[in-house]
Amino acid sequence: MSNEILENLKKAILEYESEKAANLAREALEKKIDPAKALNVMTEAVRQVGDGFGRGELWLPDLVGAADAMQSAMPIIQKEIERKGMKVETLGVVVVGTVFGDIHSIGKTMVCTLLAAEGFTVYDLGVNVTAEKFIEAVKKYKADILAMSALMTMTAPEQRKVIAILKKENLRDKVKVMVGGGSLTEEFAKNIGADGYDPTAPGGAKLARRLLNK
Amino acid sequence: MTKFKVPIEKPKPDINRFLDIMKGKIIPDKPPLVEYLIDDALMKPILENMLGRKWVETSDKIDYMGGQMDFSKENIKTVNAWLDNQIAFWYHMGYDFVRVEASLTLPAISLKVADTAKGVKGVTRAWQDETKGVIRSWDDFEKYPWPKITENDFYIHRYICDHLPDGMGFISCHAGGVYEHLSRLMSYEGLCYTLYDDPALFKAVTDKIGGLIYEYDKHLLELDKLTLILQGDDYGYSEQVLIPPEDIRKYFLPWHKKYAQLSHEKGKPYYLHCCGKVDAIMEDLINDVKIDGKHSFQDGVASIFDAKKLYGDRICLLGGVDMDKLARYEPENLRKYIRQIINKCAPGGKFAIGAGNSISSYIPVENYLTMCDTALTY
Repeated sequence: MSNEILENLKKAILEYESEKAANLAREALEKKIDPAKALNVMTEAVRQVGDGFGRGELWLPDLVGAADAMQSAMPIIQKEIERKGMKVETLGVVVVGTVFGDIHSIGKTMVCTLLAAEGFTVYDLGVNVTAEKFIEAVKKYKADILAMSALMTMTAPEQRKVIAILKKENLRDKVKVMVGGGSLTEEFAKNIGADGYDPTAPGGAKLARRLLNK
Repeated sequence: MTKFKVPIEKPKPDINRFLDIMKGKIIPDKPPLVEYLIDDALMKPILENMLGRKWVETSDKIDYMGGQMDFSKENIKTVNAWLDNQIAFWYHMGYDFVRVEASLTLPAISLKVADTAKGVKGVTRAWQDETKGVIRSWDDFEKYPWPKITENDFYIHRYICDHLPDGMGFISCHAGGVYEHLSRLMSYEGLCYTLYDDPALFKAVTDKIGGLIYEYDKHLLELDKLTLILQGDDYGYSEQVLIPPEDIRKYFLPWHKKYAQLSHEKGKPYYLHCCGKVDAIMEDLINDVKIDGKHSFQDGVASIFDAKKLYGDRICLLGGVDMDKLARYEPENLRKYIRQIINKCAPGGKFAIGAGNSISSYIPVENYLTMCDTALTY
């Protein structure tokens, strides 16, 4: 029975059924299924979609659909994990956001989902995030990685600004910085002093692992 | 400041020559200039400081794609003065055509944030909401205030046609294509879900927009002085197409095929501006839709050098100067880079030089002038 629920939960994410995924997450908890096991099947499903995207077999809407289904079920499971005081192994803490002047959220949200699927603890600051808010969150959550997204060429320089403040606040050596977004290039990322760049959301999640040698 | 060949005091535009170059009938010693859209942030200083004209704001609403102008009696002089500036800009900057576009009123949810581009102060940019659309159900679709096309929608087009300098052509389109307006009305996330959950609604909204643009194009093509339609419809981003290629073929390309047919029946070419990596649908655009030209080529995404090899003998290629390089390069490096593009892409004709995408507010005026100057003095 519990296996069937977990299989269906995975299937719901693979078929981008948000409501179904949330209902199955609730059902799993009602049936006393270990929330860590539920979390595992969910992250496995999202990784599967991410890998399919990486191989060019799936498209952006597939990532959006899987991410949405995951996001609808994830808080239900996470709440139970917290309630039980269970310790979930984490690869590290990542603070994520879209820079000031930019309201594009899809890429950033997918990176958040895929980072969570990889096993990171993710704090999503949202969009139009000022440099000050990034710095505050890096301090507050003791971030291992700061991930900034900027879709537009005109907003990308904000990433440079945040890195400059990290240096000023003596935080630069304590946090890895990864950047992404449609207008960015490897050259730009190096130029602003970021530690890493990847053009895709699944690539970004793998990059985070590499940055922390995990 | 460097002395540029542009703006030109007494230009000699020749739209027929431009068209012949694009068809490969004339192989020019240097390619003509082309642009898709040019931001006010660049037009304003050039018009004011280099052409000695007075800048005019149109009071159009930024949250509608292409803007919506106030054509009231009280405001019409302002609209005319704005159009005069547009004509003067394209004319004196060395283009063979004026390119202006407008959209029907298709209200959507816009998010406004400050423009952070260097040198742009106090300007707000409107971005479409990616997660929440105004059409999420059949009920929303039925209740949406779909516009009716009226003669007033073509005031600016008629004005331009009536005031074109000798030799100048007029290039236009409906501001925003079928997919672009679908993503405005449904949001990107919304259209992704609808594509899987309710394909009939997806098709209904697409066809409603597609039909409106078709009717709009019919009116446009009635204008004798309209040179051609250069329609924008972005299907890609830096890595691939935004939705699966089979869905683009199923829902959107049939509309572009109709627009192209309509243009061809009037003996006019049909060009498409389409951003991003769209390799997956390029052969469809050329062989099935039968576009005559394509705009938007950027290094690392869809380079003009690759496009020349792959498609340069079948369609004309427009633009190609990478936006990142145009924004960041020092003028001397920019000149070298632009000359390199001309060296490789001009042979054989069917090529016009310009930015790989719209000239946005973050492009330094000096770099834009350098690009035009390099092309005109090649």
